[in-house]
Amino acid sequence: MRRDSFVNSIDWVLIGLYLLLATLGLAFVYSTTYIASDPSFFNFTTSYGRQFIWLCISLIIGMFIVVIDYKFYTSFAYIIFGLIMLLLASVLIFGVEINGSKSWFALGSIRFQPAELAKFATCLALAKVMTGVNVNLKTWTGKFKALTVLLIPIGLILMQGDVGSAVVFAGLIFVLHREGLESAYLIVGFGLIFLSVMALLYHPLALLFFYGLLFSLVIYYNRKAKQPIIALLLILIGGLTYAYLYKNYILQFFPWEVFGIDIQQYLFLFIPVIILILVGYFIFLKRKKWLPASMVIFLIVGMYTFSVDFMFNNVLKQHHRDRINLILGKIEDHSGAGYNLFQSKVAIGSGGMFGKGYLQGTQTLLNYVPEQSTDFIFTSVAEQFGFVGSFFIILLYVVLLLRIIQVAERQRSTLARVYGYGVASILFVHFAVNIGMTIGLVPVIGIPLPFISYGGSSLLSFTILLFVLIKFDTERLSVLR
Amino acid sequence: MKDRFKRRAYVLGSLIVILALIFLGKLFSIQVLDSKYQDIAQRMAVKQIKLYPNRGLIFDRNNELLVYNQAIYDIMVVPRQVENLDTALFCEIFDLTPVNFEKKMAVVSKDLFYYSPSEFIKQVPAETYALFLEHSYKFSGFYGETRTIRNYTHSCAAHILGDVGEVDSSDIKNSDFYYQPRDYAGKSGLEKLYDDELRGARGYKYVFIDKYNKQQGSFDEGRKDSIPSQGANLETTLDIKLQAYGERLLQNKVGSIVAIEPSTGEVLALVSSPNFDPNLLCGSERGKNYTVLAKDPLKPLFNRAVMAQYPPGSTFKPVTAAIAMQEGAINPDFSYHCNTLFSIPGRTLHCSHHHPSAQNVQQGIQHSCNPYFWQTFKNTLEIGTYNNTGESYAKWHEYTQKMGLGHTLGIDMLSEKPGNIPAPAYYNDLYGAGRWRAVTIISLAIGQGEILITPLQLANLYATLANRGYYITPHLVKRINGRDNEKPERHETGIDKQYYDVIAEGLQLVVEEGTGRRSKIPNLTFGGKTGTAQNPHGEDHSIFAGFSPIVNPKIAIAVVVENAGGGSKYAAPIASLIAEMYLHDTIAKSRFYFEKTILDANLTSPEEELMVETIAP
Repeated sequence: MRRDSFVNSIDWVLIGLYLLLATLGLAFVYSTTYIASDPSFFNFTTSYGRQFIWLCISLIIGMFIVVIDYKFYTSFAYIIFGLIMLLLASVLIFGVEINGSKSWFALGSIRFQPAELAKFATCLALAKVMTGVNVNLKTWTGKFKALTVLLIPIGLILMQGDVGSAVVFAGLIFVLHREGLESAYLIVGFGLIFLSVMALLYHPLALLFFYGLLFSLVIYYNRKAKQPIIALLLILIGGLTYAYLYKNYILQFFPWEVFGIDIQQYLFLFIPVIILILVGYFIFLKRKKWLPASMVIFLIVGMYTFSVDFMFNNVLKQHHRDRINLILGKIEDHSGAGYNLFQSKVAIGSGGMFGKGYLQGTQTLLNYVPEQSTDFIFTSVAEQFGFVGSFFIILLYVVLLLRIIQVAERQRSTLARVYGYGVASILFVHFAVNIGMTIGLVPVIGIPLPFISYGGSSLLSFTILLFVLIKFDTERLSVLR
Repeated sequence: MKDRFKRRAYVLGSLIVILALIFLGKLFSIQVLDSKYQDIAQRMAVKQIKLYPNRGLIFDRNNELLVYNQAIYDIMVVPRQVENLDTALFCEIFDLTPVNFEKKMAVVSKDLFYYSPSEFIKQVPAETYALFLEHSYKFSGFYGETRTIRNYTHSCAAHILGDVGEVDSSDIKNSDFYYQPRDYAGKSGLEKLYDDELRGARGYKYVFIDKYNKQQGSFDEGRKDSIPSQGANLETTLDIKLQAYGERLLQNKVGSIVAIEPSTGEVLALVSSPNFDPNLLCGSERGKNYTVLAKDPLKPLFNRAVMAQYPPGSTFKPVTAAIAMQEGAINPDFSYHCNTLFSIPGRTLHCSHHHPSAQNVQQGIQHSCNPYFWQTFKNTLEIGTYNNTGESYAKWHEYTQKMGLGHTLGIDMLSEKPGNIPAPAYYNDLYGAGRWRAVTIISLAIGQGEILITPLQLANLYATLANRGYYITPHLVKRINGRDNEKPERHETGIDKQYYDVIAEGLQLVVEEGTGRRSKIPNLTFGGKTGTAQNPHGEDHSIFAGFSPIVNPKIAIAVVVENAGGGSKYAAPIASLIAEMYLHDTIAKSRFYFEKTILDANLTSPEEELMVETIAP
């Protein structure tokens, strides 16, 4: 009976989605390197030939994973983690540099990226950490333990120079959030991202917006009082007048520059906000506790906006700046830095509603899109199958991700659930960044589209990542807690 | 405890869905709503290749090839694809200095030109191109495009044949934008006038090109492709041997020769001197050579045969006689006692020659007696048939127009000048209506005064005389691609044949016994009239026009030699040599010395001579 229910207990939905995505992936990789004169599929010197082999290998390993006892993973979680971290460290010494990052092992013509496996190992380790009896993310000890597990791989990967893969790990915040991390961190996190983008786009306007939001909150908490609403109106009118006066008259007297950053614009807001806070306190609010809080928040936000500017101009490298400016719409470039994005959009855009047909995509066939079999594989979907094709692939991913969450939720063991959320988060970040990058919503960060992009190590790693979850899922009913 | 956070599942879940919707929104806008990417993709991936047809060939009347095509190569470059360039070898093959090479590369690599093909070196001859091809693997990013330029088998007839060069913006506009930059089109002469026929029709091939600008197959399976249609061949009326001979005769002289076959209006030869080798305006040296020619003070580019206007002088006298006879103002046996003075109220005119008095029109022509023709003219205008001089002159003017004078003839050449025979209105304005008479404008009788004529008109006039009363519009092209060209018009003069016979006899007498007797051709009847155009700036111009044989004439010739003195000195001998060469294919031995003196004569100044020589090939 055990045997029968084993087969039944496998989540065939996940397996089905996986196989569908992987075979479609093969078809798309084939289309990007299709040579009319040699259309044979089993040519092992080509990328699709190799992808096929890797898929077979992955399937075999996947089967093994599902067969091996789950306790293997739970017991050896830290050991696996340690070994992979060792690999990550040693690639810095023994590894090969490709595309600017030293993150590959090369054995003959086979290349392997340990960072890919690190994703699996980290999920597993994190899951194990969370199964401690008194682990509570609301406590600082809890936070510290979780953070360590995350920071080791992130640090090692950053040392390789692979920023893209490091960013993936940031997605694990969703895991922590589900397990109890205060929502405030998530809100602040997204708030900072939003603020950074605003700061880069519109500078002082970002601050203004943020302050407006803040005061709206203040008003909300004192909504019974009428004065704050009038105060807000006065602030708006006064602010605009001030802005006008400042721009045309006061500016000439204060040409300050600190650390090469022009602080005029910040001064512009510095004065009125101080006034606002003081006015607000003395006349309208009379709540002592708001004053220090507001001052501190003001200072922090101000410094953060400064630092964004500073970081952007002095810490980020030129090509990072270019890519960010590109999607912010600050620069338009069809050659050099913007070439990839331009070719990507052209390929995608020219697909129309129904696409040009399989193996009929001009931009794909004629090799216009760089990295088309790897990071930009989605362009081949969009060009050959149009909006309908794009819709279908996105739908597949959404269904896959939601199913993973569903599977994670039905786990009784914390470890399995945490692991499941880890899988979902990692795959989600890849999905979001990869497709977002091809359509110009996210700066070009080179990470693959799971199961579809060409790449043996990533296909294998994602397979392991997923199949371990499938394994945990088969045992979900046998876990007591 | 776990349940407390179970709702947080929706956070990630909704984030996933929201993001997917944002992506779908953006994708929809890029793929479905905005069509610009489809255009861009097509422009990038599909290249239109122009297939140039062969330009039509040009032949003379005896099927001698005059103009043919030669392949030449433009070196193109796509800067983005240039890598590992063997610059030293490249510069050596194309004779460039490294500095110039860098300058040229900088120009073609600017902005978007970096990604598309640009012209790097123009018109490279075949040998250099072959060398380039041999080493082309060292020059990735560079490739050659085949073009054709014209080559001329004979180094003559430049004014007639014209030349071909790269189009400029006005050419493009005038062709209704058929032409595109870097195309070649006819710039002058027959090449320009018959450009539509000669150029054929372009074909197009549409191919896919990949990122490396390599062709990868036909677009739309070749459904949009079209094949070029070859240019039409022209068969001209020219006799190239005669043309070459004419140019030789006029070497070191300034002037022109026009020879027409009277019965058909076909132009056998048309020479303007100084001239130049048409091959000079082909290929890469074109610009340079053109500038030298344009600066030459003797103006070799100026086609004197149709653009220079001279007073015809005595060669006009047959016109006066013909009109007078037709109007009945004189009879063919009108005699006039020339006492070398001609009296009109207020003035006395002299006859410039010493000769016996003319007993009839023939002798009048033979001796070229001015008073004879003054009187003839006076009679014509004062004839009683009309109410006043204005009317009679109008009729006289009408005859001249019918004889092809005072207006363009419509030959297939550019910039034909109309000459000038003043209309009655001109004299009305000048003197006042009714206030002028024959004696006021008496100089017209002997081809002076305001009368201007081009050598072409003169030849055409004598073709009319040869035909005894009509002319066919002179033209240069007989057949296009084997099919006859539009039939040229026949123009009647409205003067009876009998009078023309009289004039023909007179013309024959000129050569046999009159002012043109030095130019008699053995075993050939030849008639014509000498003339001297007075030139206020220097020596008079020597003019002659005539035809041969007298009966059933085969060739009518007009010759003008500037600054050469009397008509009999140079113009008549040249005309006779032309006629003899055309009709007998050779010059009689007895005339060899005669021919030699003409050939060796140098009527240009030493400095001017030098200019023409520096550009000889």
